[in-house]
This record gives sequence, structure tokens and C-alpha cells, in this order.
Amino acid sequence: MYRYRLYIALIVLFLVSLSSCMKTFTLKEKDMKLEGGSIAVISGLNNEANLSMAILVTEELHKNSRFKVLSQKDIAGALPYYPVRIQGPWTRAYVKIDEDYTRTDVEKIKKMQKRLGVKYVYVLWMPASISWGGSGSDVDELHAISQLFMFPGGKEIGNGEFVMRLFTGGIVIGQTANSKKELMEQFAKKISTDIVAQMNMQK
Amino acid sequence: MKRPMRKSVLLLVLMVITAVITGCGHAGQTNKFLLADGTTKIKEGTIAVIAGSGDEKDIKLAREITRLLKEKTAFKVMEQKEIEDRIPLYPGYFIEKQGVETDNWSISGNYLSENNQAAVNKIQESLKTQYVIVVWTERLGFVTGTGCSVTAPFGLMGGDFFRILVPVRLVAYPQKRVAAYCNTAYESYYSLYRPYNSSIDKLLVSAAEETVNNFQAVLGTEKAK
Repeated sequence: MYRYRLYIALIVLFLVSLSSCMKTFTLKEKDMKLEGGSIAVISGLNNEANLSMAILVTEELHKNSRFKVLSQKDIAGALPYYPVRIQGPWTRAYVKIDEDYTRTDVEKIKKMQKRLGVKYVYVLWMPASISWGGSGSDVDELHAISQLFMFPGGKEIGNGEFVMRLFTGGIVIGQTANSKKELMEQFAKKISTDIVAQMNMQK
Repeated sequence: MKRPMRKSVLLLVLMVITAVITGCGHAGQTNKFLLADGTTKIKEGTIAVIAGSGDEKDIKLAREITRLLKEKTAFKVMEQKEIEDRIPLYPGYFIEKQGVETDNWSISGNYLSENNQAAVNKIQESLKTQYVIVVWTERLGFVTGTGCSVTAPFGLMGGDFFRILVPVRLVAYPQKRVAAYCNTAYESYYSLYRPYNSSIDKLLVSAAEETVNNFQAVLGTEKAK
């Protein structure tokens, strides 16, 4: 019985460490010469959690980067409907994301960019979530995927897929978030750090 | 005497292997489509199926039910694409999901809160169909079993399974009220050899089939069967 609990604890510890070193964003071409400019963080789905995450990433980029970051208020003001569902890069996304980057409704994103007039559009989707329950410890998972487009042209220059996990129902070593809100705040910071570092846009 | 025994053992092994590979889904707790008012008559006319939210599961259910209604009934069914064209924010988060009473995975009642009813009415104003079916999902979970049991003979993973609640509401117009409803908890045993999303996909397809079959059972009747 104790051995079984130890195994569970080790798996949880492994997953927590994995989350902390996970990359949330990767540029497609490492040697690409990028210039700064304006950026808009778009919520790819019209639900509260997805929009909250877009707001958090917007705030982090505003604090930590040299980008001219469009506020969510400006985005909502410029688009006739926002947030609105944009078909994202997946074939199925119930429990996890079966990614397929050819499935994104890029035309919709291009139309949005036309109204926003920004150089970069970062779209973030959180389409899948599940609670894994059972032997004493529960895990809430939020699966996210993103794409960064550069304009003019609307070329995809980066993307990322990651899982936000919150362990409940026991002491979890290594986990610093106590709620979904805190977890999302931590990941927003991480997304911003990953984008800024790779695009060399630190303040 | 030995041969028939060997055959039956082989058959059992084949059944178990098939079940492990394919998994199995079923309605854990079925409530037939019930008429909200015993005297209501549902006539086949124009109908639209609305996903209660922009959740992928809800969208899948709405698409499947739309397809099956077209195949199996004489209703004039509005395509999901047409709904999207008429309502720019569709699929969106119209339904407040906490509106369904839940108690230990059983759901009861034909509840469509005042806000939810108003949201559906607003959608119908753009669609102008005689009926609107609203479907959504609640509480998708992975339930860990406690060993092979009679209820999960083919799970072989200690009876682990996915479970989801699917409330369905048929709203009639111009009356603007729920004419029939259905609340079901669906379960699908977890199989090692099938990706999670495929299990959910299968679960949703069978939920849609069961919903349409149950719906057909109340068509043209004065009382729910």
C-alpha cells in the first residue's frame, strides 16, 4: 500500500517538474530575423477561461516586453464580435488536443488582423479540459495550444502546445499554484517569457 | 468433448480481446425523452440543433444530432453552417451549465433556467424554426474503478471509465417552452489501446444516436413511451 502511494507521489512529482520546464512557445525558424512592433493576443474561444488567459498574457507581455501590446479592450472595440470561436489547430480536442496545424481558420485570423492593424497576432486556445479522479489525488488538466502569425502575409512563425495541471486532494511537492487562477497566472508569465526570450524582445 | 470446450474458451478470449481493443460505451443511466406536458404533440416541422456551448463536445453532439435527424426523421433540419452564418457568435456559451440539478451522477427535471430560456429564445429569433433542440455536456470525468467488476467485465483496467452527462431540451415555438427533455449519463470503458479522444468521440456518437432514437419514440405521441 505504501509502495503504491510512493509510486503515485513520484508520478505527480515527475509531472509537476515536467510542467515547470515545459516550453509553451517555439519559433519555427530559429535564425529568423524579427523586428519588434505591435502584437495582439487573441482568445481563440469565446469562453471565460480562455479570455481570462488572453488577458493575463496581454498583461505579462505589456510588463515584460518591448512589444506595443494591444489591450483586450482595444481588441474588443476594433472587432465586431470578440471573443469569438476560431477553428483551431486540431482534429479533436476533448480530453487532450490531437494537433493538426493545417486546420486553423487562418482566413478568420487575417480578417481580424486587418481590423487590428498589428504586426503579430498570437492566438491562444484552451479547448480541452478534464478531471482525473480516483485513488486519493485528483488532477485537473487544461490543455492549451497557440500559434503566432506575422503580418503582412499572415505567416505562422511560431506555435506551442502545453498542459496546465492542478493536483488536488493531497500534498504535492513542487506545485506552487493553489487554484486554477494561480495556475493560469503562472502559465501566462511562462508564455510571455518564452515569446519574449525567443523573439529577443526583452525590456 | 474437449473440442467444444476449446472453442468456447477461444470465443471468450476473442471477445475479451475485441472488447479491450474497441472498449465499450453505453448509457450509464438512461432517461427516455419525456414530454414536459403529457398532452403535447410534436409535429415534424422545421428544427435546429444548438450546441449549448462552444465546447468541442457540445459542438460534436450538435453536429451528430443534426446529421441523424436529417437521416432518420421527416423534420426539415437546419444545417450547423447555416446557424453559424445567421448567428456570428455561434457556437458560443449560451447555456449556464450549472442549471442542471446533479446529485451523485443522476440528473432530473426538465430545467431550463430563465436565463437559458431567454438565450434560446434569442437564438430562435434568428433561426425562425418551429423547434430548437439544445444539447450540452456536463462533468466529463475519468473514473477509476476498484478492480474488475461485474459492471465492467471487459474493461480489464479495474473498470476505469469516462463518464459524461448529456442534457437535451426540445423547445417549441411560438410557445417558447420546453416540450420534451432527456437527461442521460453516458459511460465508456477505458481501453489501453484506444486514444482518449477516440473514446470520447465514440461516447458522443453513441449519445447522439441514443438521443435521436429516444426522440423518435416520442414523435406523434401524446405521452412519452
